Amino acid sequence: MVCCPLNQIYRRRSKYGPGCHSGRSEESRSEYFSKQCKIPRYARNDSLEGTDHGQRTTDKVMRKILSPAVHLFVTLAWMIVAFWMIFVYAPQEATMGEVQRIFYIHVSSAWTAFLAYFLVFVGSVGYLWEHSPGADLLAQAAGEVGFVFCSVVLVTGPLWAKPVWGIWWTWDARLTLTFVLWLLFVSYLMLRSYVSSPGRAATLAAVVGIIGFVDVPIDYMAIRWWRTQHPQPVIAGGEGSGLDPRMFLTFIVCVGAFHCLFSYLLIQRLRLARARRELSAIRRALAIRPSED
Amino acid sequence: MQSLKIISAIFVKDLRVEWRNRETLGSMCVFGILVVFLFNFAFEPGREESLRLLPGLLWISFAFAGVLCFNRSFAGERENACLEGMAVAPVDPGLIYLGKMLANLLFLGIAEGVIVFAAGLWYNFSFVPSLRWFTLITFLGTVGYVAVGTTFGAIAANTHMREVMLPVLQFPVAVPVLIAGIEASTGALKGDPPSSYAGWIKLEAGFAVIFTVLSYLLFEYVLEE
Repeated sequence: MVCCPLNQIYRRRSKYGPGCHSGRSEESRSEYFSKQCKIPRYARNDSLEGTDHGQRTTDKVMRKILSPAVHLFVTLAWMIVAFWMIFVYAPQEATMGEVQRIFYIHVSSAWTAFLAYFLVFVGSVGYLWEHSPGADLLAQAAGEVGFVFCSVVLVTGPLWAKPVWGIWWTWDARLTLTFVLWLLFVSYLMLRSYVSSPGRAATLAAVVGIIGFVDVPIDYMAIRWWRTQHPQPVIAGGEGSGLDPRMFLTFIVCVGAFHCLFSYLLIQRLRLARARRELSAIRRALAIRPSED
Repeated sequence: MQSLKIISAIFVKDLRVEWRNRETLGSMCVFGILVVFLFNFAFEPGREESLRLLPGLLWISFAFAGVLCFNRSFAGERENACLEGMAVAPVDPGLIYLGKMLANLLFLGIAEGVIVFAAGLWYNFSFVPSLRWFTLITFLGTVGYVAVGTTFGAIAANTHMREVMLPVLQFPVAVPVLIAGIEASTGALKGDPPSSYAGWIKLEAGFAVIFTVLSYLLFEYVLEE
């Protein structure tokens, strides 16, 4: 954990005993220290204190199971199985042929992108509700990872459409909506990078995240009335819809694999952001450390 | 009663500022007219075509004029730390939002009047037969557009790429209101029965209500420093 250097700082701080030169008492110095350097809660090392031994062992086991390495392994294995099923196991579609296989990737990414936008909304509401940095990190991470998946949808869609519809792009309802969602991701991420103060960026981004999320269903209604050309839902659609059982299984495995990949990327992004915040807290703490004259 | 006083204080202040420098309205009208003017070169529409293209053209110039308006609305407040003054004022921030929004609504409404007049003149199109419905459609659409625009204007004022940030935030969110405005205006200007485009008018109204309420609630966070 990155907490260790912080502990060292604390320890070093306690070295300034009553005999330090500045004349400030130990208490006032530590008060000054804790006021000046707002160390995020997760960066403090008090979470493990006070827990009994049994709890700690369970924690260890859980942490091992949920460790990034295990997560990565599961994700990779699942993705390999999913791709094997897409290209080998699933039968060829009767009218569209091989190109239909892109459907598994396309739809899985689309679901993931919508889930990501939902998480942006959840994080945004959480941040405005109680100003917890964790909620903001979640919104930011979901925004970035969701943007990637939304881009995958926009790339795989035209690849499929050209041979099947004969055109790369059409302003059909779902295509337009996905494009609008992509633009919402872009504007959300742009806003975050254009506000210099991190606290302001988090608040403003949360407002934009909420407005954007409320906008999506209205967009969907408007665009749907406007025009519809996209294939109707094949799963739980109307009559005549439905998939070959093998196709359905492939689809389910693929959706699972993409969600696993999504969660892996999301957690890695969260860990990175967390480490960055801890690093900057430590830097601040070191910068304001009273000089040992 | 107290809230009305606060709203009108902000509203009147914005009108007074505009009266003294006359920057926003002038630039909005000129910009909107320029869009209509350039459109003429892009398509060279005949009588039939102009009827088909006119609603889209009008709403696009409304949209661009609006972005100018929202940018100016809060850019001016950054000078002399007026935005901070608003943030610390002991009033409900939502009321400040409503005052600002009403001022923007008035400015954009006036600019739209000028744009519609110019477009009618240049494309030899009479808006008089469908004026009532067209006014209602434009009004509702503009309320929704201004509702999100005012909030995004305040948000964009905090960024160092204000001019770019505002349209990037505004246009994707305003897609439903633009589609509804264009579709309903097309119906109204063609002289279709109102029932054929009533759905779009309802969508505009719903959008306006939802985003006015949402912005009213969220504006507190936009203002806080």
